[in-house]
Amino acid sequence: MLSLAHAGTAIASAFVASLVEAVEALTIVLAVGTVRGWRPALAGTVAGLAFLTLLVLAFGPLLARMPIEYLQLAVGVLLLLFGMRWLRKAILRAAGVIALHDEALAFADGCAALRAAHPRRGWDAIAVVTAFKAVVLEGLEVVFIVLAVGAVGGLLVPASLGALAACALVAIAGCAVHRPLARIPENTLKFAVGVLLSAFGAFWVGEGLGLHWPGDDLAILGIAALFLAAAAAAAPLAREESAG
Amino acid sequence: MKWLAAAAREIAGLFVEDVGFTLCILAWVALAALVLRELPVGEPWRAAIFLAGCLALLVENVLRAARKRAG
Repeated sequence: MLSLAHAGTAIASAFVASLVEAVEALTIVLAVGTVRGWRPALAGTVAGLAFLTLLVLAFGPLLARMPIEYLQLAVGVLLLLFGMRWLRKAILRAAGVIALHDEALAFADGCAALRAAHPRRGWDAIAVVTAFKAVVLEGLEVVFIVLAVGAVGGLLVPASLGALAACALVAIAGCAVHRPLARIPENTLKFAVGVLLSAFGAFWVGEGLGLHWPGDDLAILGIAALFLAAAAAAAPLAREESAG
Repeated sequence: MKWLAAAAREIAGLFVEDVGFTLCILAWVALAALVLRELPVGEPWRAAIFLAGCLALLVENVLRAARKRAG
């Protein structure tokens, strides 16, 4: 039986990661809707969401059939690579070594590119494909997180619901304000997801290798705290290093 | 075929940004699989050593990336 710490961390990871990616997808969909019209923007978005749902429905049950020790190790390694990549980038952004992601700038760039594209005639394929690609590319990361944290812990449905809730929240906010959600503290959220996924990855790899974590499932919280402490310490050090 | 290659690049990009960093993590996991079980230390220490290695890799790579930007 999974502990609340395990289930809660898995659902929180899916929710927050989905929030970050949905904000980025919303920026492109808004650009498509503003420049090329809302019908193709919505058609591309719905098609993208349907494709992502199919991926979860196809791969979720497949992963659940794998022997648990192989699944723990394989998913653990992928989560460790994925989570530490997010965390590394978030630390470098927090330290000012690389630029923060700017939704307003991404929106302006998206609008400019869509205006420069071929004028629409009848079915606006450019608009549909742009919205579809934005949803699928941003959503792939969410699908991976949902599958990874969901399949190993038997939490596919709660993790999916966490991700869907975040998407719904962003869609409602986007409809209400009709502009990119530039005020969302995206890097802070990425930092948090990076910490959680790295902790999950390390935990599952350890389990897969037969290592014993003190406290069993509760160890995830301790591992996350250590990743957070290391990342928080690394950011000012990186700032000093990059300053010369 | 172009879209297939682009899709493969996107999927690989989920896990790889700095190739050196990715290879170091994979090498550490492989080393842990081969060596940690044989170490003459208590059970929780093996997990602690594995975690310490992951944290050290992260901090070292971040500082190296920052130095690279500065230089």
